[in-house]
Amino acid sequence: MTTTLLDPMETLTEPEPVASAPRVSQKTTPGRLRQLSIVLTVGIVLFGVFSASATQVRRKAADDIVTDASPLLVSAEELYVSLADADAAATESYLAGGSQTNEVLARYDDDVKSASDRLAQIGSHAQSTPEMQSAVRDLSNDLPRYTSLVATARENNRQGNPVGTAYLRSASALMRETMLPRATQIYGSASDGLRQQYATGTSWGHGVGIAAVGIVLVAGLVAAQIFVTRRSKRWVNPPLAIATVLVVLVLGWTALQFARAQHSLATAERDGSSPVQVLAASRILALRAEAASTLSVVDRDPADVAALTDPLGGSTGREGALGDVFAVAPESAGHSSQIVAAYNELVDTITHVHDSLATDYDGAVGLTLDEQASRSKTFDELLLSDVQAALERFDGASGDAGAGFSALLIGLLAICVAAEVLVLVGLQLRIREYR
Amino acid sequence: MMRHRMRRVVCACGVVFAAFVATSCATVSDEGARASARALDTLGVNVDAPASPSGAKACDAAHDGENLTKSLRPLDQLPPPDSKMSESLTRIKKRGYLRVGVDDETLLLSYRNPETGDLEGFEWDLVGQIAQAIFGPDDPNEIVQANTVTTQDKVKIVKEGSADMTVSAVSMTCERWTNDVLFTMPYFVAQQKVLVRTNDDGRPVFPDDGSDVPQAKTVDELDKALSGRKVCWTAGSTSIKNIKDSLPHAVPFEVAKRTDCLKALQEGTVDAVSSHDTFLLGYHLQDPNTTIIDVPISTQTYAIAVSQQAPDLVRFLNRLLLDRTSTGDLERLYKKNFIDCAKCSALDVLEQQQQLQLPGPPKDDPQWLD
Repeated sequence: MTTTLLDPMETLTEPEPVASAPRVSQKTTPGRLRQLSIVLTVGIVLFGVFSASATQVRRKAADDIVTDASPLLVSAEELYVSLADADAAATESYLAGGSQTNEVLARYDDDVKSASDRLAQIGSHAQSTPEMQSAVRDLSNDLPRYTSLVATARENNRQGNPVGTAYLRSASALMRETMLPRATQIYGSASDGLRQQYATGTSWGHGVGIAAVGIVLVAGLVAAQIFVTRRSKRWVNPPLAIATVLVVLVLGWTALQFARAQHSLATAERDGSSPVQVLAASRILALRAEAASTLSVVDRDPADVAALTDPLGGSTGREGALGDVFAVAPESAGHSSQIVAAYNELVDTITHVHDSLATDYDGAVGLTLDEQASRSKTFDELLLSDVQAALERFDGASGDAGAGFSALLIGLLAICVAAEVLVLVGLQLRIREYR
Repeated sequence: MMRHRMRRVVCACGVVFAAFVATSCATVSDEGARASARALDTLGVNVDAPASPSGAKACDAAHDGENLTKSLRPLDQLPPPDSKMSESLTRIKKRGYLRVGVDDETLLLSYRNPETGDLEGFEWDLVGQIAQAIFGPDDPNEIVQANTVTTQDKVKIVKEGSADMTVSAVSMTCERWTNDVLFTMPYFVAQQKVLVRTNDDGRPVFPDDGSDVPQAKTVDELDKALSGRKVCWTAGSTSIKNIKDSLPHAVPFEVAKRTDCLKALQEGTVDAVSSHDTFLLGYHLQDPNTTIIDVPISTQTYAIAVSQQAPDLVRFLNRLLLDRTSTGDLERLYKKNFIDCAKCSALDVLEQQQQLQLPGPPKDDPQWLD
């Protein structure tokens, strides 16, 4: 391509004599026409390669969001929820002592199974990063340790040994201090991954790049048309004109397709991913409040209820994470009064539990096991149904995002080939006139 | 005509370009992204910073040496629950319940019965007697707010006023007298000893390699036996200083709550537990594959810790303790919790095997400060 970087010895060699013959003809009209056809060919190839690769990047980003990044995020959320719920269930079943209900035990077992399934899913997922892999490995080691601590706590509990509390406390500490932060880390990575895919899928660089290359190409085609028209004294060169129109058409098609996909992705994020994320945060905070409340009942140490629930919904139920939910998730906003009522009932119950903890321990335990557990479940189910609605809308919107790219790719390549043929034919007709 | 055409082409290009730019602007919704980021933020994990210890004064000679167990002179007689009481007691009665720091995991002394969820044990029964002396014969569960704190905090909650008293194996020390609290007369005397695991034959062994724990009759021999071994104790307990002095070659392993030491021994994290024999007996009852090495390291005298602002409460409690001792009530509580408890038959065996001295109420007559 360039001679500036060549060995100095080489620059001393004789210039090649081959160039002398065409150099004369370059100044003639057929020479110019030949040059033109080369330039236009290069332009069309560049345009084809660039727009096809950009389209491919877009298609991959859209596909990744639908098939990988988003399911990964959902798995990461479910992993966290399973772990947090297992801990809440374990603590409740411990608190229930001799009267452990089968329901709570079944809930614990389900959660543990779901958590290990999710770990396997995330561990083998194509999009999981090395950090996620290492967090998954750590969690896979910690989960059996956790369940064995809970089992020992239960066994001691059954035998009336207070050391059971030490095992439960250590299980809960392992969960809250080591496992849940790792699950949060996995969730954060999955969320980052999704955000990056959205950024790639909606970045303006590709569109502007295609437009710029396309416009240069169209300008080249128009310039060629003008040149040919001037030299041949004919009105239009039909093949060139058709090629120009085709390139303009495919540019328009690309613009439409990108705009449509971009719109779908923006919709998918606005109506799907964002609501899922804020709802996930609220579910997690509610589970945390429930588990912390139950643990402080085990410890007979009344908790600061506001500190537990304020991050979730504040004093009104419309602040904190729930405030974000109502701002972002349309379903939740639609039945916000229902959610706020469930939140307030949950907060009232937790407050009631901790008020009675001082004076009526049995009452507090009963409240924790019955009312608090059921209120917490009601609240979680309300949010969960909204998560499912958001996921459905995500599937709808993001499914569209990947559609049409294959057709566009084929169209792009076909039109580039056609344009190339037309250019060559159009210019060749003129060149032939000079023979 | 041709110019016109050219303008149209340029125009078309402009429209295409504008379309691209316009669609590019419709990227992801900002509000959603911000909300998602906030959602992640709210899930961040906060780690509490450890509290730094405050500066403590040197020991006051008035509470040192033989003065250590001297408490404030008791009231002449116990006021009936419905009579007018002194300032601190009036405040408690007005509130409607007593706030007491207790433990909930120390079998024999104070623990939560996992089956009933109720607190039980010698100290909890004592708290019940105190509450009934103040409020009348109500159910102690109704009139006591149990504040179950770590060993580290049991003196602090009294000093800071979030509990009226702590009845939780608080050893009388000159430092605590001087810097933190008032003590009542002693209600219990315990000895600091060491608990180790036993194998199937009942021989004391170290859990990691199963090797025998060398025989020890004196503290020095015990130190040699435990040299380089991990020994568990509770953070903030008075045992630490004694262990460090008596067993300098042992490797310390600290936990927050007493029962965590039993768990550490069971899991093989530590080779031995050093603590009051009151706790160690409770561990042995929960895990028969353990034994207490009968070499006393130090003597610990338990008293109720009360705020330095409430000497009237101390005088009241001293009168109560004296009265309950002379009526035999305290002896009965001791028998109920240390001799006749559900699991206590195992203690008899241990005692027969080792001629172990069980801990119990103090034998000496109390002395008073004026």
